[in-house]
Amino acid sequence: MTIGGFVAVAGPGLAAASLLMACAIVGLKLHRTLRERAGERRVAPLRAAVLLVATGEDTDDGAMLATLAGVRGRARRDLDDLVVRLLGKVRGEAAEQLVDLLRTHGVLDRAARDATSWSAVRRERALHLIGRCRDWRGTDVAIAALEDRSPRVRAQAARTVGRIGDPRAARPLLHALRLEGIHVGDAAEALVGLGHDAGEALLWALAEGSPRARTVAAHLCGVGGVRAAAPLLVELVEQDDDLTVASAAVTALGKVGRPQDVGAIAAATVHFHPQQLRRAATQALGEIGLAQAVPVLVRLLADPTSQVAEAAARSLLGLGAVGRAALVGHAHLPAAGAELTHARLTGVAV
Amino acid sequence: MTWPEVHDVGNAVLTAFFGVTAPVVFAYFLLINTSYLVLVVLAAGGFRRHMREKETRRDLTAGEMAPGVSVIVPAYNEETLIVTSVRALLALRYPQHEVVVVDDGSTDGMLAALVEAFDLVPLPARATGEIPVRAQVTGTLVPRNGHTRLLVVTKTNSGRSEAINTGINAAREPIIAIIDADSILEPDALIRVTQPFIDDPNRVVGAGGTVRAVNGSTVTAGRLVRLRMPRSWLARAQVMEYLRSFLIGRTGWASIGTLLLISGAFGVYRRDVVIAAGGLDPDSIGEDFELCLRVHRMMRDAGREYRMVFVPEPVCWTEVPSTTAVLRRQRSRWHRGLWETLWAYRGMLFRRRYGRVGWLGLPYYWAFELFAPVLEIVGLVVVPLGLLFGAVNVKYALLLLAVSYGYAVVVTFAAMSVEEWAFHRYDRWRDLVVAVAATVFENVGYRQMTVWWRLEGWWASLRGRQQVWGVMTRAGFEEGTT
Amino acid sequence: MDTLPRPRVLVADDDADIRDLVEFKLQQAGYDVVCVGDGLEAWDVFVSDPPHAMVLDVMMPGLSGIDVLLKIREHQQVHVPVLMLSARARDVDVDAGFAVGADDYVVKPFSPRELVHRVNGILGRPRR
Repeated sequence: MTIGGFVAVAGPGLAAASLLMACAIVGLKLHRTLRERAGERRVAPLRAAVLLVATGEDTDDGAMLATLAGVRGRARRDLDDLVVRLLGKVRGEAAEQLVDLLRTHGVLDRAARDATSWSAVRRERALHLIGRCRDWRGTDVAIAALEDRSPRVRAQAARTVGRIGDPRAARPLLHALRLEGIHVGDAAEALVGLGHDAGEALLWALAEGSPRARTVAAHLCGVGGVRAAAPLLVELVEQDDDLTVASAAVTALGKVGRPQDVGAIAAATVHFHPQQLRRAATQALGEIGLAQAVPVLVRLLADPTSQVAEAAARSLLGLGAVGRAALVGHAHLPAAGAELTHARLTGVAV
Repeated sequence: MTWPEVHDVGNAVLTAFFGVTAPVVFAYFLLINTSYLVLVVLAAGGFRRHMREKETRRDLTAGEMAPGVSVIVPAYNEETLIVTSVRALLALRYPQHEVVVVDDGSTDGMLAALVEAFDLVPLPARATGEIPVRAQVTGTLVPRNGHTRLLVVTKTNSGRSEAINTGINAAREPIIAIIDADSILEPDALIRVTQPFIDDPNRVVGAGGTVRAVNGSTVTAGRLVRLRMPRSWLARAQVMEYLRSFLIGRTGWASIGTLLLISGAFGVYRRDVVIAAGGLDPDSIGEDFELCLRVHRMMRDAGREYRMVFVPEPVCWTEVPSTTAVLRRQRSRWHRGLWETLWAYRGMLFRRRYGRVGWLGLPYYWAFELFAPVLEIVGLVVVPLGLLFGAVNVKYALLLLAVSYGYAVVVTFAAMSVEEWAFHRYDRWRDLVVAVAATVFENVGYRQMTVWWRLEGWWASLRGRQQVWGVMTRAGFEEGTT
Repeated sequence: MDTLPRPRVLVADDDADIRDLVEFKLQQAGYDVVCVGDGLEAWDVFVSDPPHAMVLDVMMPGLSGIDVLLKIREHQQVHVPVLMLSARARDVDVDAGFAVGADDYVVKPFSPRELVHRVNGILGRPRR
């Protein structure tokens, strides 16, 4: 086709397309505005009742709950949306009341069905709802969904198992971190929610997990004070190729390390290591709270890398009388001087 | 020669020339706009993911594994806005962040204003940092109260890149966010752009936030209170331009893992990665682009798995040039930076090791960013000449132009509708109408102006001329009023 | 009892749902409640008409809850009890809240009933 011919066809086509797009923009805005207004109008009269239920101020016979349970049609859907939203904000009795309301509306049953739907969007929504309601009956479904074929569903499943809080989910969750989708931050929060029972799974992840699982596990072993993890953490500090893992491990060692681990931490401060690891190790030496770290830290005060030198000064400051004396003794070094000045400003006695 | 003779010769030459160039230029126009359209579709997918995520994720609290962030603010003679800006940055919602202001040898009262507002006291001299800096660091100050997490570093004047490097040296947190002093961040900006680092800490090395135009809006205490379309058409055109090329373009590129440019107005990096790369290049003009490419190259040379991400939620608002003189300088500078950086990194083109960056991203930038003004100017010069010499059929020429630019308008409309669907930040109907009009103006009028300026920048670089960067003159935000 | 003036509580949170919940629950518990959506407003209300107690969100636009509290503790002679209501649940965050002078700290998601008890607590009011 010649350009002329093409243009003759394309011209009117484009004009039509422009018009269409302009209409689409207006349409989108109109649709959204109207939908929002209508939604607000439908929910407004119910909002007070929902708040009453959510704050546990419903009458003894549950009159408000009964009223809300009787809502039908579109208003019901908007109402359920509001309730689900509120569920993320309250807990205790108030949350139980709201879950009851969703149950009477059949929302939970529908979620249980949708959790195995063919549509990934539905599965994700269902899992979200199960998590919000902390519906323990959904535990198995949620654990299975950690290995779902859709990354987005897997990501949601991680949040859901965290909310339900069944410790059985710990190991599958850490295992699933090898896949795309699950966010490390979500996994960490979920595992915190699973509490002490997750300890065993954390040790497994340190030894055999993917890099992301090792990162999360190392972090949580430190935060959660899993002392049994120390030997495994030492191994990670010494051998892991992934800098993020090694740094997380050394930070954790600062919290759960034993006296014999000071050597391993100190070794990570040696100059040929990446700065991120050295700095984390220097901080860990302060965190571990043992006087035997003092000579290493004093040496690091003169480190040419300011980040490491300053971290060493701060660590010394935290190491009690011995550390402070060492810091004052080296006040001529820039890092020590700066830290001492800063300490005086914040009112720490030195 | 008489006019008829000139006319005949011109006619013959142009007919031949036109015969060759017209199909090329036309095909180019179709291709470039189609590529934008593809990006719009990719971006729509990206927005959809982003929105679903927002809906189902817990409230933004940054959570258990949030890394500390150092917000680095290079500043030169920003006496009027620095205090407001620092206050706003300190008030950002984030569990652990510090603000590092680098005074690049200001000659106004900026430092005094900071000292007074935050009751700063000097710290003893610190050891030098990991990134070599030519300028002399002259002092470090902190607030007397000891807990406001602000650090002010003063140095002799040596430009923005060195100021940022100085800030990176002084920063104490593992993540750095580079922000211009006049940028206005949403309260959630830090949480949003650092989310990728929390989600995937082993791999994410850089994240870019969306930068949009704030002109005409109300800003109170360094915070965007009411968003409005700008009043000048020049700024309005830029709103649409930012929407199409930055928001849509970068979301699209990031969704296929090929984000090549993180804006200097709001970019977030892992500190250790930037240090390993050597910091910003003080001699580069397109320093943001250059750093981004350097990080890509470094990670791929080392064979490390890594990700650069883009956060489409509007997070950073900046004042765009509202006069042609300033805009001209900016665009000329951008294009010069683009050319010099692409040229410096030509070795990455079509090498297996550089994957999509070398095979897709960089070739695209060469073909559709760098050469766009050349092709466009050919079209803009040849068509009128052809008309003058009767070498081109008037109707045909007009149709050609209409189709080329009409397509561009359609694409921008598409970008706009995606924005309206996903973020709908302009709430007034009037702004929507203005936006529609601005879309047309952006493609017919505004773009042709920038074509010329971009060529100027390129030309200046090819001739090896030193360009003196004027400081952008700001109209200033109007506090409290529209 | 009702002849006594009701104690006034200022609630600052950028989330309308939370504001409504807290307002509703505190009103039920016999308080006058003033709600604002950000830290700057909270400060303005505090300055113009100091309440008897405050419920402050930590992460708010403008001024954060911590900043508001700092200003209050710096500039005022009278001690207004403040309860922080925050989604930040880590120990360091709670420490930071108390360090700048909070009287109590409640983590979101929260139990409305518990919140009332705690507001009673910081005001030294007996249980209902």
